[in-house]
Amino acid sequence: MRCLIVDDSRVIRAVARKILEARGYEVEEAEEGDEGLDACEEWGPDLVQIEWQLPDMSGIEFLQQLPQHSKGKMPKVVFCSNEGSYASIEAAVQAGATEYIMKPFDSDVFASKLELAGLQ
Amino acid sequence: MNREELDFFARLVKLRAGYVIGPDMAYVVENRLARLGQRNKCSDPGELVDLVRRAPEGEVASDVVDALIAKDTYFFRHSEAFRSLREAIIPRIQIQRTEQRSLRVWSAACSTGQEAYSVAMILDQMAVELSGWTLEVVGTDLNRKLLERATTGIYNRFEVQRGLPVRMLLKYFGEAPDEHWQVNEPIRKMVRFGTANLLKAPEGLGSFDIILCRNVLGSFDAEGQAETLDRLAAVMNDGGILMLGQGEEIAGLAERFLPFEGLDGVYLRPASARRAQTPPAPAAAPSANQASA
Repeated sequence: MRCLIVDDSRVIRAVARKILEARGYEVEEAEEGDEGLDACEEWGPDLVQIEWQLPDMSGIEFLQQLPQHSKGKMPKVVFCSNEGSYASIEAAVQAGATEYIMKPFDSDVFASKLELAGLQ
Repeated sequence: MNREELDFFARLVKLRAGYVIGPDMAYVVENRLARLGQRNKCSDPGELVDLVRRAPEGEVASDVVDALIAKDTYFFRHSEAFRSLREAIIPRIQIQRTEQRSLRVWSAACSTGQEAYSVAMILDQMAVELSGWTLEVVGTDLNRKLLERATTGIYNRFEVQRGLPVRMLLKYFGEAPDEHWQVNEPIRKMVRFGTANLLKAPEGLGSFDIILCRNVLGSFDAEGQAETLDRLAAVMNDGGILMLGQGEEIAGLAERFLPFEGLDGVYLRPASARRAQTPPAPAAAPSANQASA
């Protein structure tokens, strides 16, 4: 399984990478939305983990543009964000997110959400 | 923690809750009691033993038991079990209880309530099939403090993110203060919480079609397991279903229940066993004095 982490926080990328690699994922990282979309087009991840707000676009905008960059193989998208209001989570799900992780998280939460995303 | 202190705590927990603590678990016991010891200004485990001995029915003794039997729980723990509940177990009960049109589920040793609420959410998702049915979920635990939390239905960010799909968070929860979330009222109303000790015959709980007693009995000794199975069987309706933890091997299971074909950890109480075991009279409450004897 391939996971692309799109987050401008180096710390979050490092934490997520460690958890994902421990579960056997291949991991790539991007700091901004455009970079992430390019990686989707070139690398074809199975899962994209994305922040609510990136430096160059919102996570929702990323999600809206993703179909044009996924070559017919739409990855599952898991938001991972400090933004944890009902309205934000609902907006992400309505836009097509598979799962949503509210920060802070621990490895149990992260693993659980990955499992839920994989099962759906 | 020396051997004598470990033995004291082990006897206390065995008598109060049926849990077996082995001689190799000193580190676990010390770790679990560390915060409680600090809170009671005990500088070592021996002082905590003295506190319990001085007030065997007091709050500290209860807190010791609670700390040592606390179990990890989360929403839809082992999701396969809940899929079985929805796709095989409840449909079977529907056929059996067509006349009564009532379905009662017991989440035994429910801790902070996630299992009981998970069952209630499954029942809600089956609202069409169960239209006109009386539905009730009962959650019990030995620990009153955990039950108080369970009753509020309020969980922190970590708790609502373990096992709970985001769509179910949106459907069944609302935001609560301080980044917490609360189970919606219709689901809370479906669940009733109360104290019960699995070492004693359940009183006032009524009879059940499904009992979830997962990841509990494995901590009991063989005698405690078999006796508890008798008490559970005694409050199950004909053809009732018992759900244990996946892979749990429990003494006396084969004599009392039939395996539910194809489902790991799920057992059927045969109708012929109906009330075969009369619940024993409640034993005198074990005390910490007994534990220290």
